[in-house]
Amino acid sequence: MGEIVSPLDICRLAVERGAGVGAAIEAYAEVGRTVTIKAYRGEAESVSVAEPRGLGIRAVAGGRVGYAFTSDLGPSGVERVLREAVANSRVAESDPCVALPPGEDLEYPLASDLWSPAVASWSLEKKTELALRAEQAALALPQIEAVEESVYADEESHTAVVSSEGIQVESIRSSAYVWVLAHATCGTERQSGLGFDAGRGPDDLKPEEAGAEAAQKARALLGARPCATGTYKVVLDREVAAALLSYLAQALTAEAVQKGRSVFAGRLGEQLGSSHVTLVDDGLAPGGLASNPFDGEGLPRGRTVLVSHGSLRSYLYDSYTARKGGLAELRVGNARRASYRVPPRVGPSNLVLEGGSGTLEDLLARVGEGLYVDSATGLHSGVNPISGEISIGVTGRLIRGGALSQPVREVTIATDFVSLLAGIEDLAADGRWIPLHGSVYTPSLAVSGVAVAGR
Amino acid sequence: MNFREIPQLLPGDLLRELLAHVLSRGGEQADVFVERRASLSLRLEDRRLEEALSGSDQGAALRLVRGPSAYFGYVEALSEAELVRLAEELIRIGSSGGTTATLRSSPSSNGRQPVLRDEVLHEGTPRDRGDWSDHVERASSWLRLADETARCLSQEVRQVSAIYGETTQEVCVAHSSGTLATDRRVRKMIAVTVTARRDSLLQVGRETLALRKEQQDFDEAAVAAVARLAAERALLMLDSRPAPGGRMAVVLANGFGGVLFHEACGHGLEADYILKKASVWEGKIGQRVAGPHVFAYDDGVSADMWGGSQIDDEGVPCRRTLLIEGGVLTGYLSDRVRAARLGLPLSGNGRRQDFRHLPYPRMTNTYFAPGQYKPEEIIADTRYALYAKSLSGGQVNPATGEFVFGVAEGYLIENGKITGPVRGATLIGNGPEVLAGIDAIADDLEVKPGMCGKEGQLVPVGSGQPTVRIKELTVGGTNV
Repeated sequence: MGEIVSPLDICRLAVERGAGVGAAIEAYAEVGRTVTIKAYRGEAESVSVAEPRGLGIRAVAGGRVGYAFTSDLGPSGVERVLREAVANSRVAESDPCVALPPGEDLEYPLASDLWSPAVASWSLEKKTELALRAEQAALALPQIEAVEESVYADEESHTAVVSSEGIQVESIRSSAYVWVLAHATCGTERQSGLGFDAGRGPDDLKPEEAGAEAAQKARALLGARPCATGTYKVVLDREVAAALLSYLAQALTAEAVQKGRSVFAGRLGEQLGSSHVTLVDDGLAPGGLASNPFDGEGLPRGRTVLVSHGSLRSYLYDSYTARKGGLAELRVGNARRASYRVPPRVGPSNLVLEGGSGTLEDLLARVGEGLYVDSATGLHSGVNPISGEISIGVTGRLIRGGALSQPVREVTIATDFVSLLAGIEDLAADGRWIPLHGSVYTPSLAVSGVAVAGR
Repeated sequence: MNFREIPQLLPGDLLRELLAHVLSRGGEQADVFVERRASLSLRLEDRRLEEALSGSDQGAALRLVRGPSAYFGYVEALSEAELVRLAEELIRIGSSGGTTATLRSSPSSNGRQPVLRDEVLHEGTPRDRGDWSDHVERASSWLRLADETARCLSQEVRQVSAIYGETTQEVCVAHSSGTLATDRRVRKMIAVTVTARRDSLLQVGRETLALRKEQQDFDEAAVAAVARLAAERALLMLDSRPAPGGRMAVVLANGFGGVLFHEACGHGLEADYILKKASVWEGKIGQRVAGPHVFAYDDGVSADMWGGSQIDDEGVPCRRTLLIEGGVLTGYLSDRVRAARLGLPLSGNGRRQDFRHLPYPRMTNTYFAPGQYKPEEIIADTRYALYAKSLSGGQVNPATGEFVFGVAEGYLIENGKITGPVRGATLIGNGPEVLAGIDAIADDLEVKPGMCGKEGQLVPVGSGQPTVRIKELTVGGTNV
């Protein structure tokens, strides 16, 4: 649609124009293209195409930071957003640790395969076909009465960071997703299940498997009822484990720790989890959709061991929290950008939980008796990243004699971050990338001592 | 209709031409949604005003509805050239078939020029950061007041995060049915989060204050009151016991307890789920779904409620819709596409987060109407229950009716009296069962501001209710 604009050129222009404003300037720009196609009953329900783009400016002077953004990338828009950012910096109160990171001597890792040509070369017809195939695959299974939605979505994003302190980086990335929400019915009962797949481009996706996954999850729940209230050994499916890990990582940010709102504050070096637990933030993990050579401040991404064999080793830092925490090395690479409309903030890139052994079936056999949890609801209201308390609605199956049995719905599980880490007593080796709550790679895992409320 | 006149964002002639053009190869509906939004946010934490952020968004979205499909795109600029290119692209996708299925052509609209009602339109100036200067000082002082108020309550208050947010959203919708409508929406919010600590125990209290009046500001007493409330909740929860787990009666306090209706019923009445038969409420209009004392509304017109506006994001005037009348289901919440497919009246519920998204049927402000009891009568009449004083949000699967909501501040009711506080827990139930299980409604209706997420889009909503009692729900505490 629009002319091709380079985010690097826009950033350079902004930093040039900002030379006389009396503040250090960091410009972040993104130019992208997105496609979302929803299939329903063999037709395209909606086809959306767009080219999002915009510029965000961080201005720092005298330990004060201001931020402003615009989607107007013309010279007057750039001038205006610079003025706004500088005006905003005068509002903030000074903190000696507030500064833009220096750009000298930075070495960026090689990150390959961040972009798939198929995102650009596949036609809309072919992408629509993919969503229709996923729907068809779900409908092909018995008891599947309807697919509520079958969605294909992709995104190409060209981003750049340039600062007056010498940072100048850009990258092009792409991602593609398919997800399917299927309904299984039996008499008057209806259950739903979600299946998905993700990759760099449409050619990475297996729509039939996503459709079948949704259908099988929905079918497995038919006949579900609440199980008895009590304390259970719980096996978390990868999707649920990923969701909980992404909330837990909020409490592992140096920001939460330094501000006294993390249950992990002051506990570095402590043995918090069982020896099976090793959790890493890997900014370059192949297959991780958050991988990028640089972070939201333009600093090189890297690999941070958060928990090693159960011992708490590090928090996640951006340049501000590193300075505040007295870290010698400021180039820690965990600043995140949700979009050009918000400033960079410390957070995980790709979280990776190391696997144990065997398949899910092997893990269930080792667990013997308990509750297998395959979906969770109410995470945003039921997981408190400050107190660390977890109480969420779940569905799943009882584990009897080392195998899945009676399906379960309308129950909750409750624990907290520290008990969760300490309670992980076994893991399978079935790691999978879950792109639903950030980017998390995790196996299925068994947690003991979890409160289950049901009938 | 007499909408408040706002500066025209794009010339009426251009909007007319775009609609005619995009429909020129067939289609039942088309619309242009033009938006300009200015936003400001300030954040205070660690006793310091850490961050001031402002920005301007402007863009326009085009939608063509043809046969079973909607073709949608947007541009992040109010540029005629880009919009015309977008229209070309949608026509191309829509007629070549972004879908493999055969598109039903609709010759009735072929080449017909939609007639737009003329409105008096005048030039406007974009809102600039300069306009915020006067707000910034006042807003900063509110945040400092919130911080001081919370911290002076106790040494155990360890952190206060206070955020001020303000947006001015100007929208203009041109729809092929002949509507050209504009709206200007101003929303202001203060959110205070207090962390209290005792030894290794951390607890949180969060409260918000919201306004959607341009000419009115927060007053200091109200700001101090929400800060105190947030701090008191965090401190109280330090003294709480773990919540019980299992099935029991639940009394939900007024105000944000309205999350109950929002999740247990409201989402399931949104017509996109009805159209796909993906709601447990589908086919239940005219049926008894609750006791005769239950009345429920979606109310987009009350000016003091956070989730309403003059028009929805498809140019349909907002209204008040009776959803449950004396326990009988009476209505669904529609947008233009689902209303046309289902033969429903337009209820003014076609909403979107911004021009980057397709509209969907969404709630505005939902609430149960007041009943006949006093809240203290309901509590006195309850032998044993969880008393949920404040909620932290919820989620529902409309297809199964299963929903959850989180309790931020809870107590036990024992033998007709509120006893000790219990820590947060998620409650889980099934919408139709829970609605039928409401056995008492008090007279203390209050509607609270919140944000609702669906289809990856957040929109402001109000949720409210008087105090209600539910016969039985599952409480997800750790004390099992």
